[in-house]
Amino acid sequence: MARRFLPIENPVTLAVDGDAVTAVEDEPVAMALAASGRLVLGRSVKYHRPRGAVCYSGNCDGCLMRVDGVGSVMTCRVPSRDGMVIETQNVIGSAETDLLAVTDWFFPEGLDHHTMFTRFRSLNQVMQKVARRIAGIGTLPDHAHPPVDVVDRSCDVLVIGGGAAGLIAAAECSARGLSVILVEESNRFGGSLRSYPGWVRAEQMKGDAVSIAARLEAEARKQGAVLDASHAAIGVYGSVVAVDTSSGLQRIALKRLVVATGAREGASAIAGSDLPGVIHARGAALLLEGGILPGEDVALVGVGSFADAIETALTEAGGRVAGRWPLDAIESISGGSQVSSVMVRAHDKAKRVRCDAVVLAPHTTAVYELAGQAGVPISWQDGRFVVQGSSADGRTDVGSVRAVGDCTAVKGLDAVVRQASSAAAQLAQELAPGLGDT
Amino acid sequence: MSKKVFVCRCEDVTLADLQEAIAHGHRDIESAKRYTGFGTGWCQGKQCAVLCAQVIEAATGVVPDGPFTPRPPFHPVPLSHLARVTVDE
Repeated sequence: MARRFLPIENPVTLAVDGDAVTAVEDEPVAMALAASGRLVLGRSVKYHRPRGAVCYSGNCDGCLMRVDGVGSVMTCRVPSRDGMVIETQNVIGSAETDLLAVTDWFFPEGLDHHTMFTRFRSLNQVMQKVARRIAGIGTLPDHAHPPVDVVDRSCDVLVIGGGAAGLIAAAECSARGLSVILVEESNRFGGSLRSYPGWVRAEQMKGDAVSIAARLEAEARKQGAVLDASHAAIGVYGSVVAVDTSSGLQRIALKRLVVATGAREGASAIAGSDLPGVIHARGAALLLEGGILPGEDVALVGVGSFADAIETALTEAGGRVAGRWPLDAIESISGGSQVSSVMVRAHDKAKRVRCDAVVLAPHTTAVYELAGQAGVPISWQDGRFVVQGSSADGRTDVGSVRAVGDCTAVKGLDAVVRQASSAAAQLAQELAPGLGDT
Repeated sequence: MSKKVFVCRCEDVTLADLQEAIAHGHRDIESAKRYTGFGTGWCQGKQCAVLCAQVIEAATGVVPDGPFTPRPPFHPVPLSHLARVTVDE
């Protein structure tokens, strides 16, 4: 079972379906729930299969719950506060034993809405009513929230994404006299560095990844860039970007846009990979950094240095790695309401390995949506989407937009430094006073 | 738990659903998305888009010409945050 391995500082109490759950103040609610052993947080829309957090970073549907009377809140993005009321939604019974899960059993081969109950109009109408009761996520808030004003801001350069690439671009643009706002959707800076439990060796930067992240953040601040965490860019409309915060929407007018949205892990076609307790490596890293062990017996699936680092961090935190295999060795994942074993194929023989958590470390893929909204082409390379930004200087087909870092699939921190620095130098030249805006 | 393989967790779209869509002639990502509903749920494709594109590429042999069109909002936004946004005439 998931548990804490570090003592709690600044404890607060959440009311979770009537139970008192201790959390660390400001810790994402979904992480506090994992730490208390609660991995089953909800049910899926159609078959009512158990759902739990996968990414702990706003990229999936797994942690949706009702928070203080508002339905379908991503609890991985909500900081824990004392007295917060958290409720399971979308179930009859509980998340663990939901009566509506009968739909999953009743339709083992799936339920095709194109052909089901379409022969007779009256039956179809009845079935639509039934389906509407079963399907969907959450219900309306307890009370209406009054509209809040939109805040207008402006800058020379808006950077979306506070990972290494974004921080370097922000620092270098600021150092050249440009006004810079950097927005980061999570509650902290450093991107993948911040959750990488290992060492990084680059030409100019050596050390553990978290320290490098802190150094890059400090440098950007020192140069005068405005760094805003918990600010999620939600739409690019030419020279204006809409940014959502907990207190309302911001409209940021800009002259140049730097997209540094990084990469993420996506779904794998493995039976049972939707079970609670199956999480992505970056999510596991965030849990570990927060002092939470994702499980006692962890099946680790993936190759490469990130999986290596996770394995070390899991062991150091007191967890047991039940085994480690490449993604294509996993035949299926099993469990009741959460994961209890994996079926692994090795040397043409399948064997069942017991575990209480599965950490999947698939290849990451670009976070391309915002670049796409800005009009930057997205291409398909090696089975993944990549934002078309020059690996040398981040140039894109859109003159006012640069794309830098992991979203362009540039390899290694040294290359990111060169790319983001070159982009910043060009932006400074383009926006130099006296030359006029282009 | 039945042994379904999901390609899209938000909308409970299975690998079999997607393969059937391809067999019905929905051989590109936009068309397959519209038929099966993958990418139309909570995460708007953050989890499924790449996997579905891989499945379609493997089945058709055609290299995807990009993801389905990404539209705002990137994350869900409360209506109270949008209610006072003025609309340009």
